[in-house]
Order: sequence, then structure tokens, then C-alpha cells
Amino acid sequence: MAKHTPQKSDEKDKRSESFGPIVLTRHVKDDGRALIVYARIRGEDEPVEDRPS
Amino acid sequence: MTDLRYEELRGEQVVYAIDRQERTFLPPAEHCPLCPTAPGGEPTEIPFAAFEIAVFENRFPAFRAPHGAAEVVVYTDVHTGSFGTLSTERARELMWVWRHRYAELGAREDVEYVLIFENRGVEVGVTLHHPHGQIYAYPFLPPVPALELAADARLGGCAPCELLRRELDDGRRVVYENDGVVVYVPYAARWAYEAHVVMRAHRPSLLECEPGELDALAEALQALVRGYDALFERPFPYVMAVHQAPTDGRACGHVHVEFYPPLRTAEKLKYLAGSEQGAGTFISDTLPEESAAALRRAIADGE
Repeated sequence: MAKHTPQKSDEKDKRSESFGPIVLTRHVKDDGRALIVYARIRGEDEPVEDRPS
Repeated sequence: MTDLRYEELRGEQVVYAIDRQERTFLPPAEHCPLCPTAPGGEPTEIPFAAFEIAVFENRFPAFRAPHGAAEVVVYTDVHTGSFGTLSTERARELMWVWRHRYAELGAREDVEYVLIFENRGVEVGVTLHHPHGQIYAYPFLPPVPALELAADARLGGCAPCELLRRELDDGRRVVYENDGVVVYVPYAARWAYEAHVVMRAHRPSLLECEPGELDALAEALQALVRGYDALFERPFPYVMAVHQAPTDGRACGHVHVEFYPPLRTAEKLKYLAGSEQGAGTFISDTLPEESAAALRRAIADGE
């Protein structure tokens, strides 16, 4: 089995980043807590449909 | 304030997070802190009118930097529903969110283990009904993953790989499978309807999974929880725990998701009583082969 360690990095976070098929946007709440909002990256013609089935 | 104390008799850490006594407890829907913030309305944890998936630091954390982290993962901006009623696309997106949080939290020097989990139902202590899960990033390796490491050593390799092989060879307890994932009631299940959702390929964490495998995992998880709801035709409470490699550099781990449902019948709960708590030995009144057969039928009904 290969040694398993997620990459340790001190690179500063960007405000918006893509991660695979999703994009994340970082926010800081009024009390200082972190909030990240995620959305799926869609094609230009792809409708937004994510209501529960 | 969080305090960590070592319990010598059992050789385990106990976490004291006394601020959590004040956490929000089963608020009415109009005061749900996980809903989006309506224009002009009461502020919630997520100050937007709409969102897909949101993750934020728990207001009442069991762990916090520089000694770990506690996060809330909100699956949808819709107050009702469950993981099982999410759209396929949303469930797949959630797998990538899990992967991202594992990567980011696991990269921290103060984090040795990342546990993604969901408590569903008041029977397992849910305090908010809005569909959500949680993440604890532990500053130490907790007992359950430590036991899994011991199982690797005992079996001479990856224990989940070996147990998956045994379950597939036997077949009686397999309840669902697709190209990437197998779901079974384990041979020695503690809970009547316990199920393990296991990656077919040896993947230490979600970081090593191919995109198609993440899709397969989402599909299998939704099939199982929909089956659970179909089993007794009621919302089925459970604790779901995503097991991955520790993030302290150890060469081990195999992605699998364990479900511990407390129901033993439609109306009766399994309690952890004398033998379970006093001796650490589970007493079950249901054979895994029988519950697997019922769960297989329920998964077919739930599709």
C-alpha cells in the first residue's frame, strides 16, 4: 500500500476555486467562522435542476 | 471550550465540549439555521437566498483549531427531504465536497483523522431536521480507525479488501452492487440492519477515487438509504460514517461507509445496555443473512 498523506501546503486560499467538477467560494461569517459554498460546474446550456426528486 | 482527557481504564480519549449544551435543539422550520436566509428575513448560518451545498464551521464545535475542526455540511437549501431524496447530480456533487473537505482538513498539521458522518433521525440524536451531515477532524487517531489498522495487521493486508472478497464469495449478505461499489450486511453485524458500502478497488481515501467511482458511491449510498426508508415504510434513522485513511501519513485505509441503524423492527430500537456497555459485547436478535434478504427486497422496492 502506498503511503497516504494529503498534501500539506501553506498556500493561501483563493476566494473562488475549482475542484474537479465543482467550484467553491470561500466566505468569512460575521463571527469569524469559515463558510464555503459549493456549486457544480455546468455547461452553458445546462439547466440548473437540483430540487429533490 | 473543549477539553480532552485520557481515560486510562479503556485507554481512550474523551472530549468535553460543554458549549454544545447550548446548541440549537429541534427548532421549528421557520427558525431553521440551515435554511437559506430569506430577503429581509431572520439571518441563518448561510446568508444567501439560495445555494447548492454549503459547509461551515460548527458554532458549537467538539473540536476547533489548533486542535482539530468541526464542520456542518448542508446538502441542499430545501428544508425537507433527506440524503436519499437528493437529485442524482446533487448526491454526486456531495461526494466531491466530501473529497475536498478530506483533502483540506487532512492537510492540516493538527488533524490526524477526518470523519465525515451523518446522524439521521431523533432516535440517534439529531437536533436539526434540515438535510445535513457533519465532519469532525480529530487531533488524534480515534479508537475505531485504530481497530481497523489492527485488523489490517491481523489479516495480513487491507482488511476491507479481504472482507469484501469474503462477502462476494459468500454472497448471502450482499444487498446491492454496481461497477464501483458493493453493499453488504457484514458477517458479524452489530446492528440488525447494519450495512457497509465498500469500494471494490483499493482506494485509501476519496482522493484516490476515479470520478466514475465517486458517482458509483453516490448511487450506492442513495440506493441503500432509499431501501432503508422502504424497509419499514418510514424514515429510517441511522448513523452513517465514512471511513478513510488516517491523515497522519500511515499507509493504510480503504474507503467504506458504515451505517449503524438503531431500529430492529419498525417500532423497536436496539439499546446499548448491560452487555454492550458493560462488557463491550453486542447481543443481536437478528441474523445478518435474514436482514440482508429483507434489505435486498427493500432496496428493489425503493428504486
